[in-house]
Amino acid sequence: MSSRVWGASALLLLAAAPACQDVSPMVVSGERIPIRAETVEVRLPFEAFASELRSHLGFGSAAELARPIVASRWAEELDAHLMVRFGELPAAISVLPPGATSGAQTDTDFHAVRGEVVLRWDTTGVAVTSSFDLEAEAVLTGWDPATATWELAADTLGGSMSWPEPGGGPTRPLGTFDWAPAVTDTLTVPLDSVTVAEWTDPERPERGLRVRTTTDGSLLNLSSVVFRVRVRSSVNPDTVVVVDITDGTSTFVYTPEPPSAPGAFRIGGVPAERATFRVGLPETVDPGPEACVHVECPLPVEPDGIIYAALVLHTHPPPSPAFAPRSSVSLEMRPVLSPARLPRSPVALPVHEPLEAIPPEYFSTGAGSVYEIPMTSFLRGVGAAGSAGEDAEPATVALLVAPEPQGVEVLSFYGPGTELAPSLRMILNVSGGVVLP
Amino acid sequence: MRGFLPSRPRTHVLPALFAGVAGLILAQGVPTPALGQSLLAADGLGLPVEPLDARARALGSVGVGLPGAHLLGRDPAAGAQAVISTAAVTFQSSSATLTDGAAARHTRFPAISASYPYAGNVFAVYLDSFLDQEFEIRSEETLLLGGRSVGALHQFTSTGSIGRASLGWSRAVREVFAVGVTVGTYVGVTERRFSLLLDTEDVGIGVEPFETGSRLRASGLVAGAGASWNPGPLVRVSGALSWSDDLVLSPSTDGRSEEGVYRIPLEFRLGGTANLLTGLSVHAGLSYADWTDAGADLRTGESREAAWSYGGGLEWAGTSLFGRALPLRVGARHRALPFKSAGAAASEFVLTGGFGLNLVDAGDQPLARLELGYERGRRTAGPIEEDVSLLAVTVRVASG
Repeated sequence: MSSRVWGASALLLLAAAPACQDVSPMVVSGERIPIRAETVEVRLPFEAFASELRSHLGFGSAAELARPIVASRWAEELDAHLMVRFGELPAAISVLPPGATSGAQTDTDFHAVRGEVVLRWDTTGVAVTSSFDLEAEAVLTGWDPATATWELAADTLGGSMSWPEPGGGPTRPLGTFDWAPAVTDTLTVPLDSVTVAEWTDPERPERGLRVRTTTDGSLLNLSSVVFRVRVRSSVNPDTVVVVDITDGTSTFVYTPEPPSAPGAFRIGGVPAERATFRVGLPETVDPGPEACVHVECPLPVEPDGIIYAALVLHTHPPPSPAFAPRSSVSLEMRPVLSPARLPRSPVALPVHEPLEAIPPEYFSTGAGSVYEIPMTSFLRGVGAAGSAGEDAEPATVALLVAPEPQGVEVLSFYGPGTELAPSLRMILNVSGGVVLP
Repeated sequence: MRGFLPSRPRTHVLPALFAGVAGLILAQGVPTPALGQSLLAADGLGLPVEPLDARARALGSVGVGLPGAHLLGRDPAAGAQAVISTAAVTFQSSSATLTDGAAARHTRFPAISASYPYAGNVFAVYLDSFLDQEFEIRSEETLLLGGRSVGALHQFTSTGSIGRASLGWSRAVREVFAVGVTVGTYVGVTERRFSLLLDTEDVGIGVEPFETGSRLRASGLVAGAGASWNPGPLVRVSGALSWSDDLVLSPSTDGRSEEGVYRIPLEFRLGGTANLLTGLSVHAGLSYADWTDAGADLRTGESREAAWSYGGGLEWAGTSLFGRALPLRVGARHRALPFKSAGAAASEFVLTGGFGLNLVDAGDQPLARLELGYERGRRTAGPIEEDVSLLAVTVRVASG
């Protein structure tokens, strides 16, 4: 065979290769689709797809919040005290020797002479014309920033210890201040050398600052806090060096605990509360008389036929105005990985894409509003596991705020047995499969 | 064996007719996909695909009665003239401009064949297309769900085709008479998938598509028989019939046990070629099948009863290119399509043309040839009108 023959053949095929991108002819007509498919929407009451709704409290602590609060009779109820434990002084500072302009020396033998705490407040949401009476105090009782509450100074595995006076007392006054947000967003609390020495001594478990307001009906968010210590150097005793301590732990203690609202369940708060419940997929559903004209009733539920599924919640007024959301809050539904270990079971990633946050008015003027949490893929998986007869624990999900915790605000929703109880909205497609030609 | 075509008359006359066809083909551009795709593939069992090579297409042939040594699955006796082993593959690219102006195109290898002569017998294997089932249906609708209007996109996609794989035997009983038979089976898988997607704007995030579908595997015996006769040195006549057991489409993925069983009709083909003068020959042929029973077996749709196809063309063998024979061809073909579309009978008419390049010949035996065939025409079925075009390229090689 001549090589030219093969060469010509190859060239011809290569020339035609770009034509190999197929485009099928398209018919735009639903009548010609050889399949009978009906789409229906059904709503299941909570009892038809869920059970064992439970609340679990204790996720996270106030110390994890980026913006702790101070409040007095907020909404005529909430009192909150800011508690701060500062970090330690550095082991050494660098100081220029007397008369020198260069060649700084390391000084490990410096000592504090005085200091101050600079508190920066969030002025958004605060009336510019208002003013607040603030009191700064030194804590006198040993306490644990991660577990302190209004009643307890510490609540660790080693045991709990109450405050002698609820709310972080007793204390030693450091000063009272009239802070006006129209003037500044900062409050500076001067400290004497004794207090500075106490707060920089890591061996003293009581070290810490408490700030409270005596202006009733007020609530302030702290943006940042800095412990500014002035130290005298042993290298150059005439020099005072300013050391800013920005590490430490800010938290707050508050009272009262958010009350329960009858017929509602709560999510959020601090420490945060979660709601969990078991999820099952019924074998059949009743799509209603109108749909029954087109589909078999009761309608068998096939996991693959679930096009959309969402938990429908109705917002409930907060148990107390003091704990009403003051900004939009995001919710998440996450599978509980080990339901038997609740409430300490880990949870998986959310069953949905990030949801729109719930606006705060949904819990006030708009109470009773609908909020849907899509769970289509998850419910398909639940149904598929049930169909396969898998010997697995029932699927359990948790509802929680994201991030968790988010603040003292709690989200309340109507619970099972109420007029606006949670329900499941499902859109199902019923098909007998593709018809043969 | 006597060669059917006269040996390369070097007249170098270029009739305007052939030049026009060649110009048309070149104007289209070789890579431009050309035929077979059609909305009509959604009707009945699909769109029948003629397993023709590029030469048969260029001549408007129905696949029987062509001169010279060649292999075509619907002409079992044609292979009897091959005295050396031959392999041929046809590459076919097609396109259609649909009624709404949309375009569809596909590329396939609709015919592959090989032969091996032994002791006066020629054994062959054929793999060719039969029914094309590539199409897509979309429908955007508004559903009323829970008292709200929801946009929905319904989409049905069918891919794949049904082909035939056959073994053939042929033999020249006398110098002027040859017979042949083929026996084989349907092959191929078609996949039919349906999906429904709701508009997230109307429902919300978290909407999942609904999908279902099945794969249908084709099976069933097929057989064919044919004869060719050269009543004179310048004439050839061939006839063939194709028999089929029931075509069975078996679902293989969706767990359904229901099979589709379809009666495929006996098909008759008759064709012939005659030399009019040195270098110029005329070819014509027709085919017939009654698809009534197949139509009765359909779940949806219907078929026509008698389906006639006919066509023919001219071949001018008097031209050459760089010392190689370059036969030119023109023709036309009408095809009655078996399955109706929305109750309307469907048919196709194409003008055809093309050329061959006889790269290497040994006497009357082609050793290496390239053939190109082009069709352009229209399919109609009631309100449906499609402009179709098809480009086929056949590479044929033989070795003693």
